[in-house]
Amino acid sequence: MKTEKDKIKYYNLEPMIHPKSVAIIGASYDPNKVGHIVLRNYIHGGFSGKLYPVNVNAKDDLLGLKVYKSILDIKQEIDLVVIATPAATVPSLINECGKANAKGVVVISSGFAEVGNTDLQKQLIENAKKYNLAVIGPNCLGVMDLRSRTDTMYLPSFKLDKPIMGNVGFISQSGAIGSVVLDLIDHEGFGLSSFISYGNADVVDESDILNYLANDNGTKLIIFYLEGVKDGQRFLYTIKKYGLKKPIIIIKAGATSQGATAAHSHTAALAGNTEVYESIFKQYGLIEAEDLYDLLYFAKIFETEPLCTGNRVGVVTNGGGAGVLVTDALYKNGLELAQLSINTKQNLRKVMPSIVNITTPLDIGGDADRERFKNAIDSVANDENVDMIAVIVLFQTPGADSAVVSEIINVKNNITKPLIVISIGGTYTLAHRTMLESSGIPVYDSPMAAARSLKALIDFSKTSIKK
Amino acid sequence: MVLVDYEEGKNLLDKYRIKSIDSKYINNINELLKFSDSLNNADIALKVISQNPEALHKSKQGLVKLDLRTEHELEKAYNELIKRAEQFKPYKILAQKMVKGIEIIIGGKTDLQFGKVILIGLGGIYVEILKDFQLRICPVNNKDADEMIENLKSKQIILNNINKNKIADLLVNTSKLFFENNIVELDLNPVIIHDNNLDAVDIRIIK
Repeated sequence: MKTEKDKIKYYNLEPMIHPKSVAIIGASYDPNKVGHIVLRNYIHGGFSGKLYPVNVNAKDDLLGLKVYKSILDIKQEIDLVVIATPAATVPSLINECGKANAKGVVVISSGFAEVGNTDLQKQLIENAKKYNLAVIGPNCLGVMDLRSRTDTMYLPSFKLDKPIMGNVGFISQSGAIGSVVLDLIDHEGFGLSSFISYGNADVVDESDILNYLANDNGTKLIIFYLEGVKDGQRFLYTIKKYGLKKPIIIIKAGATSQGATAAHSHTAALAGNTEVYESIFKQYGLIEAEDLYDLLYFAKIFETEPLCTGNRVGVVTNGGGAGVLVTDALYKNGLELAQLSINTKQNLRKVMPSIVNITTPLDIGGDADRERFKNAIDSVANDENVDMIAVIVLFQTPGADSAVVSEIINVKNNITKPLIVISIGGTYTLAHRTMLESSGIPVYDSPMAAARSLKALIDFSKTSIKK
Repeated sequence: MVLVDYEEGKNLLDKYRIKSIDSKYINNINELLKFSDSLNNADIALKVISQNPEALHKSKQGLVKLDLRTEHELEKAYNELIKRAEQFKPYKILAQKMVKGIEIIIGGKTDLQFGKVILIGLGGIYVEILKDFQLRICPVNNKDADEMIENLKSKQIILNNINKNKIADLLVNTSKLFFENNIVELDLNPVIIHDNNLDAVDIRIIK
């Protein structure tokens, strides 16, 4: 009997994600065509490998590069082929890529099974399998890697904020959601290793991509927008293997209740598709986000903060009301306020003015300045009764400025517990938020989002330590 | 889809060390009285078992008689049931000892994409209203089972009445049974918790 392991094989995506040479089929002379934009993005994006534009009507050079009539004319090693031609032409182009020994293909073109052209899709799959060719797509944005500077996206680069290089891997089944999240990432203070939008998943599927990113040393955690998996057994095998090795934050779209229709038992009536997905995520340690923004909020805490199984949060605030809101949010998410030790209380009593009540949340007053923040955060962070620290800084107050920011960063550099900042406000606040985040401190503008993120960190920590 | 015979199901449960309530098919009133004697005249439930899909919801169809103790009660209920069951031929009458306690459901279903999953929830009449249940892919180990119980909102209701490891064992064993046999769906609903013990009362196994 074959074991599970024998059955599961993954495509090697490394050459596609870090290509040394890229051919673009459908590289048009028309600057508004997808193939042209892709080529232009490669040139302007600083890709240092070889570029081969391919166009059946090849004549003059294009953007300073020689244009080939067919991929077979290139006669050089090709790591990645990007296909941006009408759907009907794609299956035979896949054959040519196979003959040219290309290592992988991204098919941007749409017009396959997603619009009912299943025959065309079948041909594409058949041809890819014939040459054992890794094909991402069709109907996708493809691959963007911030390290190799490969970028098959056809979105005009001025229309979305490009993330900086970092260590979050991002997988999206949908191109549209993919581009929305990419646009937002830069504002959440973390960077990306790779982004892979895989569309119809006809050849390369979600498991191949998870396998790649899970083994990629430059990727510390994965965020994943999923509509539905292509192959359930492969997916289970893959997340069983990697779910606890790296944090995988997942949002599953498409809640259906297929279970309810043909049920012969109570169990089948209860356990619909949505419930089964949720359970799988729980069972194998995936972190489920229920909202697109949570995908980003969770990512930033996992990117910078250490794992932590304790749920006692030490809260320091320069605003009483915000302290109450945060406390509510913590308890609603199963976290609790840390009770300070006698030692900490005595220390704080010595250094805090008499208006400060030495309890949690520790409200250090609207006139708190750099010194008071420093003393408060330092004592709370080093208290043995505190598992994680949430500092609320309302920058609207007179004493809260960039000096406070640098004190927070100082404390953070000397502790091994998770520390987050909650800061709510406009332009002045946003400027300080950027300072904090570029120093590796996650900042939240919503108490609930902050509490959900802390909880996600604890949940994952508990599962990964237990199993 | 075929519903496995109750006794065959019970034997399968035995094989996996899953306890089920004392029960017996009876063919006439004398057998019923004898069964009652053997249980020291404990309360008895009578159920009509039929493959007819209309008979799946037994209580809605009036195919269940509960809390029967005296000879008179047993005889009256038996006669009423066989009259009522006429329309669901072929059928059998199952007599079961009755126990009272907290009801849970243990179940299994086959997901089109992911295969066999197992379920635990607060059972009986509450399961579909409260929808408090947990699922996991089969087979589950003790840690999975523990997590399933811990994640139930009603866990305290259950754990006030039985040791957690007994429920965990039940989950692990049922998951094994479901995983190793050619079964599509499975309902043990309810499993009744009584006297720090568990008994499957209704067994529905679909092949």
